[in-house]
Amino acid sequence: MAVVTIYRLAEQAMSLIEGGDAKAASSVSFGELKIACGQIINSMLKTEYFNINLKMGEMIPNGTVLGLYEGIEVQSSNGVSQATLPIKPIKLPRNIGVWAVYPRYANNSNYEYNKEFIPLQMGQTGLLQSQPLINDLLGQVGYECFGDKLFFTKDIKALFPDIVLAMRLAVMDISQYGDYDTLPVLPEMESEIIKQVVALYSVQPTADKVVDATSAEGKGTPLNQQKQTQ
Amino acid sequence: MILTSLDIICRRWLLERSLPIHFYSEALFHSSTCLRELSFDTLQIINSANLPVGSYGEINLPDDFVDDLSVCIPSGGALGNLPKQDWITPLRIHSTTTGEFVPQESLSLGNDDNTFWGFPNGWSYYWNINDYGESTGRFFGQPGGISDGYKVIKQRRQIQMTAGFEDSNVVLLYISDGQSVDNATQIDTFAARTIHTYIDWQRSPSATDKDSREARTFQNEQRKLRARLNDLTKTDIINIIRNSFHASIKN
Repeated sequence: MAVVTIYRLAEQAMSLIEGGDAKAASSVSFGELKIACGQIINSMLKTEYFNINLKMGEMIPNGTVLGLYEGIEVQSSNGVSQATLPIKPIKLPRNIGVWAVYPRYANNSNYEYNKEFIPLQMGQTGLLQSQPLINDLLGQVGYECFGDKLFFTKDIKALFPDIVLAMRLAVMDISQYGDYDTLPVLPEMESEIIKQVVALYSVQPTADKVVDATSAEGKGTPLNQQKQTQ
Repeated sequence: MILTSLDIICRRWLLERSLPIHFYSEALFHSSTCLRELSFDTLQIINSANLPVGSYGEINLPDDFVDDLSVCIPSGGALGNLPKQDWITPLRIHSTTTGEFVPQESLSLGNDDNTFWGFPNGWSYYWNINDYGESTGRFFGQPGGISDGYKVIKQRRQIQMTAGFEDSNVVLLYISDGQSVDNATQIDTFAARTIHTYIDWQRSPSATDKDSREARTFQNEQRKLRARLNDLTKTDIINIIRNSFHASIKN
């Protein structure tokens, strides 16, 4: 069995949508289908987490595609540090979509992939301040996620001016994969992805009337009655 | 491992329950609550602090103070316990001129009106003397205790020493609420399982039900923890019994 690539998925979907090879003037492009494949994959990964993992009592989203993003800048703001998510991950309970945030404290050091920061729910940083034992999270750094921003409990940028972050985010980011890169997609999902993409585009209107000045039959025909040259 | 930490306990709980780091903060909140509850009567985290005595005999209580075990005067390698004196007024006395707090008035032992030949009346009253004012011995009525001591005044967050207390420092032994930063890294390893069951209980739908199955599991673990913490051994018991028998002259 051939490996799953985004090009292969898009090509199979295109064949079904077009009933054969894609036409030169097809209203559906490969680029569009590749994006659609990514969207369907993300939606299916989320559905699978809720239908399978959660039902089994499993909170860890095994099987989910985690995109790794490195070199994310940190900014100091209002006495704390903040960073921007490079991409919005799948929305999962407890913000598990933001799977992990790791620091690299200095330019010549490694990312600390086994010392992730502590995720907090929105608003908990403020509540924590009243608790003497744990208001410092036992010396660890926590973060809250508001939209596409992460706000840290400490000003890590002031403490470590060269700090950059690595993030693992639960998302199948299509931009991370070339046409022929192997996709981290489960084999059982492959046919379902194609089916859903085809269903998405099956209601696509046929290629619109195109004014083709080189086409003889188009001449003299009103614009709204012209047909695409076959 | 002599002691463990809240961090180790929480991460272990996550591992055992197959939960990701996103549940760490919740585990941390529950475990710190559990630590506070266990501190009162099971773990009995006893802290000691050498505290300065202020200008008017006051001592500021530590932030994690819950209850006092004793206030002591360090003496060589030993600690001499001071008694509580409940009669000490919780009110602070202001100087009418400067407005600042001033030391409590001492008992009127030094007042000339209350002395008899230089001795306080409270003493001489019980001396047996003859018609010539000579002591005939048989001194009765003098209490064996001391009037020095302290009173914990929680509303002032202070301990007040009796008037005329001379030492500049005292050692306070007290029960901590287990919520000072040091306590997070000084948890008896025996308590780990108890804290795990407390987190389980608080995460269950029966978090407020003390009779739920989860609550009973926690209470059983707490009971086992108390038993494990009991350090009385067979040797100790035998030694206590043997020390209670004394050789004496048989008449």
